[in-house]
Amino acid sequence: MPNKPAYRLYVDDPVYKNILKKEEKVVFVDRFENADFILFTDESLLERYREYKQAHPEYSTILFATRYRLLKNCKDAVGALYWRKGRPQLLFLKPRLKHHNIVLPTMFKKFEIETL
Amino acid sequence: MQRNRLSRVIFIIIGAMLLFMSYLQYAISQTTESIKTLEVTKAQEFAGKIERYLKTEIKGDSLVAYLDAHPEKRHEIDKMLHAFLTKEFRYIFLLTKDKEGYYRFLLDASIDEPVPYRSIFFPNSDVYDQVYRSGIAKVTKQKEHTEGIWLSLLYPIKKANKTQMLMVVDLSEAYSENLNRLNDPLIRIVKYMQFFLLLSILLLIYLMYNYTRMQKALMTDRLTAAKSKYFLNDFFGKHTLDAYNMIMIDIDEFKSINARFGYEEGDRVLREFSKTVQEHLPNNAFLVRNGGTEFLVVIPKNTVQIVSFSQNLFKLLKEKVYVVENEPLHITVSMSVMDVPEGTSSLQKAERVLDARMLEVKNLGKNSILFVGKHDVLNRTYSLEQVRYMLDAEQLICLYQPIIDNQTEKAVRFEVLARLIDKEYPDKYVTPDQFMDVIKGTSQYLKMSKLVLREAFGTLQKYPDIYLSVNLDLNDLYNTEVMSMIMEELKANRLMADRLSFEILEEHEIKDYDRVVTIFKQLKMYGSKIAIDDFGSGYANYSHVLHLDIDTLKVDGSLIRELSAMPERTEILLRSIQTLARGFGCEIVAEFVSEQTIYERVKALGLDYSQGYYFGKPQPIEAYMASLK
Repeated sequence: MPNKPAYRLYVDDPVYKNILKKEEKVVFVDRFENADFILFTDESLLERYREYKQAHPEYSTILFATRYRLLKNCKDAVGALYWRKGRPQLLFLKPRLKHHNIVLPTMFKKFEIETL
Repeated sequence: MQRNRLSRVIFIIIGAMLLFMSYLQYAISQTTESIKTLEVTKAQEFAGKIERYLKTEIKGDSLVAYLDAHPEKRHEIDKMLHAFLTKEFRYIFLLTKDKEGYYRFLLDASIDEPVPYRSIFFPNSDVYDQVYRSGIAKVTKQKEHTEGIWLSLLYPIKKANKTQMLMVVDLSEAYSENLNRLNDPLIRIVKYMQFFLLLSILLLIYLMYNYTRMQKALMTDRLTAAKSKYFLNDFFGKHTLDAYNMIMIDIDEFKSINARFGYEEGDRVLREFSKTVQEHLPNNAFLVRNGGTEFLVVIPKNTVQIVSFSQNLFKLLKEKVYVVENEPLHITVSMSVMDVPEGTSSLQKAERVLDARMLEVKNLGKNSILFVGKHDVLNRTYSLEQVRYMLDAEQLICLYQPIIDNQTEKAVRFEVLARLIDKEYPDKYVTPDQFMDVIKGTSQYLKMSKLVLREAFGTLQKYPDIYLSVNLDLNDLYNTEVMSMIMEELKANRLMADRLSFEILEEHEIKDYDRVVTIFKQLKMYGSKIAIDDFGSGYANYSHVLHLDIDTLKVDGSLIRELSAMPERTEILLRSIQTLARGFGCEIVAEFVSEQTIYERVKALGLDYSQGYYFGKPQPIEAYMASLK
């Protein structure tokens, strides 16, 4: 997909940044309003997001969490990737995906659930 | 045979080493496996205990419904489960399946990392479903992308005949590593052993390869591509000798080819000679180079008729033309052929017989072929009993070999040579070397000497114009019984005693010349002559001439034979013997004159007499008397 534009990602955790910087299709942005995706890695980012959202109620973007708790606490997050009992866990919430009109490829369908 | 046995032994050793290596590998994997089984069994025991505890604590038929309804009980059970967490068990948790078929957390032993009740869990393995469905516990090795987990025990908890929960007991990877560390020294030792075994196998293979290569090189003569002596010995280590016939071939006068054309051309002739012989051989026969220009042909008995085959081969080799430096060259060969008798087992003995026959061919003037009778191999040496039987039956014959006056070229004397007759092989006389050793010092020697002297005097009486000489060992003359017998015979035939010579052979150094002087005086009492046999070799030395009254010196055959190989040096030696003989008034007889060239040289030197196959082989006296007439 050479012509597909790069995804603009907001992430402030340097570890994740370091991992994702090799991805050609990912461009880091430093403002929420410029981001296609926000990757939540801790509670402080969630707090800042809430503040921003309060100030800009019309703002909408795709959120993805790296912890189960973050996914649970943020109703805007569409899914999460986290560790549970030494095993990687990937899940997406169907209603939230629908809200953003996101259709996952077939290989990820098994990770879609209705409720947490 | 030795080679094959060695190869077999080496292969067996290599096989045993490989088996041992595999066994070590198997043993070490079994040890690891048994450790794993032990740990899994322990985990199952824990799981069983937890199951019993849960069933006691949770009331009602639906375990899940009870837990849903009693959050304080969940907390209590979680705490109890926490007690089961050890360094072996990293995680213990219980799952159930919701209506949609997703796994949900019910209980969790990890207090410091608690999981929200009924939160979702994706196991990423089909085994979970299998266990849930079948209700049979299973151990699964976690796929990649897990953290710190070695094995997982999936243990179903059933109630009312239905799996209600799935207990997951994760065995810690760190603990597995710890177990492996305990096992490590053993594994390391096994690895070292395997390494050294492998090294030994490689070394054995290398040694065997070198050994085989060396064996191959030893088996073939490099120059002629014929087989080597080593091959021959090895071959008759595996095969019975009497299943084969043998032909010994020696190229005549090969030195002259080397001298004339050089060694390189000589080698080429040898190669071509070997090729010619090998091309003529039947299947399974082979040619061996004994060394120098001597070869041995070994032929299986059932392939060819040995006499006609060897005669054809002889003819072929004689007619073969070699081209050396653009000149045609013929070579001649001497051959001795043996139809190896049944029961013959000694290769060395058979070769000796062939050698002896070869020597006869050489003495006859080379370029000839002689056959060996069965007798030569089977009974080369006779026992005292056998000789006694033959002497009692007077199965003794005297053969005569002429001694020629070099001036007149006429036979002036005959040497009397005793032979016994073995009735089993009447056409083959038994020569002294086959029986003399066993009868020396016995009454049979006396008997034989008496028979020989009587035969000699009988011949002298029958043919008044001839002279004879008989052989005596000086050592025997020290025996008074022998001496008395001789003196009696001389006295009885004193009129003919002056036509008789005694050829004295001395095998030991003479220490008491006075005694020998007395013996010789007695022997010469009736006019007999004394000759020293084999002069110039062994103990027959110059001191004899100095101390004893000798009439004739018979120059040793080995010196005369050298006239052909080293004429100039031998002539110097013979001239010195001649001067000595002249000085002491002795006559000289050259022995072993086997060919004309030697005779010409002997004659040119002015030696008095010649004896050898050139003039005639030992035969009954009648044969010579008929030709003299």
